[in-house]
Amino acid sequence: MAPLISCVVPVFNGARFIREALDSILSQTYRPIEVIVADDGSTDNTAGIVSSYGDHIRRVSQVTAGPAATRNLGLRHAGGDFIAFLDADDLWHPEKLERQAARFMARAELDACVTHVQLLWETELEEEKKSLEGHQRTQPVPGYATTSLLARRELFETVGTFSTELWFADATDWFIRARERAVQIELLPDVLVYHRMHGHNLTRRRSAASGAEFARVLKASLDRRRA
Amino acid sequence: MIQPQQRFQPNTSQVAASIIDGETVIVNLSNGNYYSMDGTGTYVWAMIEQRRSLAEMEQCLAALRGAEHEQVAEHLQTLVSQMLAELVIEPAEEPEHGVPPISLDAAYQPPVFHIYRDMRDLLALDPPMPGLRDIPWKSPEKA
Repeated sequence: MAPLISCVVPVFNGARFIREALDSILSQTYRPIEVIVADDGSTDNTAGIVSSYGDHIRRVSQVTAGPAATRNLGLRHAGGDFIAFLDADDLWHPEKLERQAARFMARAELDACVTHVQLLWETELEEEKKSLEGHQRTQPVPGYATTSLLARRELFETVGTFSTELWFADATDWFIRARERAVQIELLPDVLVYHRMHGHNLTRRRSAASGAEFARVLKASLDRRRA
Repeated sequence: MIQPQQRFQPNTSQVAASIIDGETVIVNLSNGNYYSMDGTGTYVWAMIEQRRSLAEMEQCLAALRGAEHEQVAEHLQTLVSQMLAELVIEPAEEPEHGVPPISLDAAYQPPVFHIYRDMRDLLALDPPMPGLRDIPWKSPEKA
């Protein structure tokens, strides 16, 4: 019997796009799955949209505490042998989970699997898209981000959960800690995740101030490796 | 050869930097390369943030204990050239006005610019894209 995959959707005021995200999960060719929306205290209609899916999707919520705490909230409620995350404004290819799960069947030693990610710009950011023409991030990029991750559940015991001290770089910090522990992560060449760029998404919030947090995460990694 | 009157500044459209426990860590947001310097290197970085000229930086470094002017000039040329080649800094026109020069009471150590390219894949997607406007996530205390 195929193992259960818990699909965790962390969200904060994601009403605009979450329906498409959830539909892309429910359209997965892989079964069995469970879908958990981890709501970071949304004040828009996120809860109403999620409840319209009835028993197919479970919503858990908390007082706003940030992206890392929201992912950890979803993790705590996940019952699957494998965990996947999808940001509420992103989309999965219908075969995303099936192709990743196949890699775990082929490689017993595999701990996690990520895919390539294609960025999609909403029409409101057409000007920005043009300004980035030729930039490497307009091409498919290695998706070392939670939105493309499928991981064995026990990996979060080995590597730990997401650091709630970090507001922007928690996922990068997690992947760096995983690499330091020689965790086996396979990167699929396939583009199986579409990361949406729009006026209010998390990626856009990660600009000037958040850059310094990435530098701090790298400093911490250097310190650990030099110890 | 970099001229003494030339000034530089962090290339903030491409890099983010933080000085932590005396070590400067710089990450290139476009390509995932990252860099570190400590001691004298961090002193240089702090002066670059103030847009000091090469001559001014050289003078400050030469005042450190045990520094030899000729060596300092050579080391500084190498360091600044490396940072320019990695697009970590860019030429600046004017000094930062009204900021007093930084002074350091320490022994001179040749600055070393450590270059790391081992996490380009991990940093390909998630760090902030260069050039995007800042829209901070609303923190709980400000919510």
